[in-house]
Amino acid sequence: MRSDGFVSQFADLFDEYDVLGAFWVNIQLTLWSALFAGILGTILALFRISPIPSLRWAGTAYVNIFRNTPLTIIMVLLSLGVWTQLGVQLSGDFTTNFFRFGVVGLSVYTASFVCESIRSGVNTVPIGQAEAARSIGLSFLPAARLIILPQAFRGSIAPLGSTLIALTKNSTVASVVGVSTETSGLLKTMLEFHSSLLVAIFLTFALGYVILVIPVGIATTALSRRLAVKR
Amino acid sequence: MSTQNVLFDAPGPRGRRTILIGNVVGVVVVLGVLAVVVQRFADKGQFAADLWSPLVHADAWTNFLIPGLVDTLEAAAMSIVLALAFGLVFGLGRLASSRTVRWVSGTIVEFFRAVPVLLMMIFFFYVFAVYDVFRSEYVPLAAVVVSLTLYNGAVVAELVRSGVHGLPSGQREAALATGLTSGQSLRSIEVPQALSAMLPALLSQLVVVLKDSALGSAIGYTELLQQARRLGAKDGNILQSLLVAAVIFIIVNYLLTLVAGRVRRRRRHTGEVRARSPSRPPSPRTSASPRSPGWATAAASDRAPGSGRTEHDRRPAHPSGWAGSLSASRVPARHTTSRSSTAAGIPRGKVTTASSVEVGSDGRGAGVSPAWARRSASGLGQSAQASMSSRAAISSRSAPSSALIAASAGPGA
Repeated sequence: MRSDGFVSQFADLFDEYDVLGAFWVNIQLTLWSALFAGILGTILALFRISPIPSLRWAGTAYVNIFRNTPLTIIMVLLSLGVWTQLGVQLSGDFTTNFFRFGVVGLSVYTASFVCESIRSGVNTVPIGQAEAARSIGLSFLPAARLIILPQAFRGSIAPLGSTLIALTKNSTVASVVGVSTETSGLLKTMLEFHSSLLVAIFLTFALGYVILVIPVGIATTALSRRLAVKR
Repeated sequence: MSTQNVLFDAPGPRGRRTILIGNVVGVVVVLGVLAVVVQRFADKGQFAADLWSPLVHADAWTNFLIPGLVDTLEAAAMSIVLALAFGLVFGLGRLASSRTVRWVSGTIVEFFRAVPVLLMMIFFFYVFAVYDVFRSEYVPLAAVVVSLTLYNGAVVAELVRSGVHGLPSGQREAALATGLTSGQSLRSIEVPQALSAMLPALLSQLVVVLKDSALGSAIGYTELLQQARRLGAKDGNILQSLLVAAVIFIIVNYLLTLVAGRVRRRRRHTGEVRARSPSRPPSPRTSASPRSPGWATAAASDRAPGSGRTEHDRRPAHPSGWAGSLSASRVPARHTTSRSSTAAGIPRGKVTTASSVEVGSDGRGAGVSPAWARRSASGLGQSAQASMSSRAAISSRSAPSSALIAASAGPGA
């Protein structure tokens, strides 16, 4: 082992394993989940801010259930419960099936956080804005479209950004549902067979996530600062 | 129900009818979704008594679920305590006067916040196993605790830092005036206050720790999820036993969230008193607007060009800092640095008087902003985590800027 030289050993790893491909799987998981969680979360947020008690109750129940359940349990439930025991299949192809289950798990979990981010954005709008809108004669839809929602959207950028960061990191949990090609699965394999390079391998993966996550943080911070509503 | 009021006016007769119809439709839709799930369960025979009955036997609880829960709580308790220590060390490091110490702690904190906990667990599992650091039966526990400590410690470090930034600057000024050094003031005056303000956020973080400890099942730690899987494998009812485990998690976490909320509300009262006592004698405006925000004065006086202070305290001390820290602590952090440069050079007296004029004379300042500023000042934590961070983004921006606008208008007027 020693004779081979650290650098060349390390370089060989990249020939043997598709590290970038693994990260690409995580990015795909993140993007698809962000899309579906965004849609579901927005619907839930609308439920929670609507004046209709039953919908409000449903939204609150969803958020309390999924925000307090570990993502890992959701994933295990999907693979061992929903897939194996309930026989729900999302695709005939094995890999695609697991990938879709991963997206479903990440989406239902993240949706509760998206919902809370959007709702908090609405909460930042002072009530005087709505009162002023009504008093100049705007009815519900124009007031919502022109006055309330633009401000609410700006207020929710920062929390949505943190949610996206959390989602990126949580995409590693998809290995639990059977997505074997993503980073945590690959890390496990590589560490198992190359115990002399533990730290170097880990730092490679860690650096990958730093590179993925930090720009998102910087971008959303810059955006929320630029769009912040001056009050 | 403040959300409701923003978008929706109090309903009239027609509105009430629409709400009623919507309510009925909503109930039907929710019941419909539930019915589909129940139907699926029934189709696959998942309601069969022999699948559920093992779960009410004592054996399931004494041998699987309760030991699992104990292991989960054990890992979570150890992690949160160690995370607090880690967070204190690096939070103080980020506030240190030495640029090198600040940079090193900042890098470490940002690094551990960016790396997924699962990757850390896998890594430490192999490290501890390969190098024989712990006895083999403790390796999974050690890997779980170390990973959770590093990640949550980094989060706590941010809490400490933004908590200190959120204090009224008078605290530090008074400490320096009595002859304490900057480090002594940090250790014995500022951090203790920041810590007590952090308590609700720390409880909310415990929810995160509890949830993340379930990742330990991936490396064979015998926590609740792992035990539920074993139980399900034994009796052939994985779905049912996992559902029970999920319910246990939900109950524990929900109770923790409730406690955090209660502590936060309690602190709001005490915190208000402290935040409201500015570093100078009460001005007439205090009586005019009893809720006049302490942060306005704090933010204003803090922008005074450093009078023998280290660089980091010249950042405006917006209390929202602690609030946003949990999920979006990047927000206050990056804000502040860029802001201090714009503020430098404005004479201090001008700013404070100007801002008090702004707050006192302008109905907006006295009426609207204090309400949520106060909330963000004392409110920390998970349930409100998202809302807080967005408030942080806005209040931290608006408070100083309104002061600045007023300040620049001041000399002319």
